[in-house]
Amino acid sequence: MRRLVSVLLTALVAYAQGAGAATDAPAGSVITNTASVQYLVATTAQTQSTFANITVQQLVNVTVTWQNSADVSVTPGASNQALLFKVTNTGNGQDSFKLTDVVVTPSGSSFNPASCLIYFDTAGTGAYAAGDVLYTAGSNDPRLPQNGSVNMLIVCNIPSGAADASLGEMQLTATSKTASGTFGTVNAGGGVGGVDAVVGQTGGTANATGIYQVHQIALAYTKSATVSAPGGGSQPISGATITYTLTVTPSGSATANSLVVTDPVPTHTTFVPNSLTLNGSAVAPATGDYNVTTPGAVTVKLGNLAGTASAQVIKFQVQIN
Amino acid sequence: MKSIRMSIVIALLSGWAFAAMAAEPGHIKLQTLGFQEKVTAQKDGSNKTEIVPVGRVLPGTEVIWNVNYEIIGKQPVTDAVITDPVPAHMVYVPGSASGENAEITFSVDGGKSFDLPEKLQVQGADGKLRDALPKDYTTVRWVIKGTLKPGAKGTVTFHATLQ
Repeated sequence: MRRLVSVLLTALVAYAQGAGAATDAPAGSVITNTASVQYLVATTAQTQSTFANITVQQLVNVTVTWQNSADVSVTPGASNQALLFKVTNTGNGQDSFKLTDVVVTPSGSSFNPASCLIYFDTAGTGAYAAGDVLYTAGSNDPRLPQNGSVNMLIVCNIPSGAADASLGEMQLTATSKTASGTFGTVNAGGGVGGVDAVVGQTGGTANATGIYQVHQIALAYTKSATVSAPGGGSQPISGATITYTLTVTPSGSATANSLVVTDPVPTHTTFVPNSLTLNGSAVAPATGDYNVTTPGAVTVKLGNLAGTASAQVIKFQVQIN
Repeated sequence: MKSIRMSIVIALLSGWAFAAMAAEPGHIKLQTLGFQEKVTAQKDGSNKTEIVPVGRVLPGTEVIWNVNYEIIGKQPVTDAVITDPVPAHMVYVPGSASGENAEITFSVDGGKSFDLPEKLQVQGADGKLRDALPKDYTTVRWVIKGTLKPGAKGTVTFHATLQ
């Protein structure tokens, strides 16, 4: 047995240095070498040929890659959040693969994804979608041809207590059902068409880790008022001007999209024309208005506001009737 | 019409004969054999390398292809040329072809033309000619020099790696 392994390792090392997988000889195929000889006997030309065959054994290899281009952004308490993986049969014959998923704990602020299941990305969206088929080990293990691949999802729920910017990691492992273990291990006759299957340099198993990151945003909202009465006082009397200051302070790693601030003008007051400002500058009609977007109210469209942005300060004035 | 049909039959028969009973009708007994190196660890920690016949081969294996010839007719043979296409899914191992009393050339066009390695060129992906790489070799040819007398025998060889 020990001798056999040595022979195989020699071959396997050579294979690792070889050409791309696309042209690998398929397991179970017969490769024929036909030599011929042409010659003269006196002046008569003659030809003969002969051949020998070799049968290609199965080399078992697999790769798993995490496909999302960046950490998958999630919010605390979100359900059915998907990580996308690709499982590829890099061996030279058809093979089936058992899949398992496990929580990995990264260093730093982390959370454990919960209630995880493996799905086929049947719908092809790269996210969890209607039509995606649940994977059940031993029941629908993916069977892949040489160079074939399948996209799989790990679908988890995000704990409601997960902190902003914390990471959650899940690892998907694919293991050949034909042969796995130590490089060079032989499953005699277990390959395609009854050839031997031999564990390749991947050990017949591979894994990849996908990452979730919690992205939250908190918006602190304050409103203050200062009164300026005619003659210099601060009494809220008829004719006095009230300046309102609305401050929106974001925090966190997410972005609030299409953020709109609306503030009704109090009764018994009149909006002071052109008094609306955002961060000290006059507001264009597309960004903010009084009594156009929302009747009787000031409306300011802050758009997409990142958690790292500075506080947004809205001011406007009304006059007491 | 009859003669055409007859020719086809003869062609089929002779093709079959070459494949299945290669040695029988001709003046040369020709035989192709595949071998591989087998490295076994010895008890003293050293490795022992031996050459063993191949049957089932793992991708990555370097196969030694030997073509044996023997003049079995009663007349001498001249201008003997042995050709051996590099088998499918196999790549020629640079410098591995050998053969006594033989001029060795290679083809990169499926055996239409042959030349020495340094003179072989193929069309690259950019359409321009480039020097041929061992993976481009399609056929190995041995031109046996001189006259082979009855009873003469020899072996030509090359190595190829299974992809």
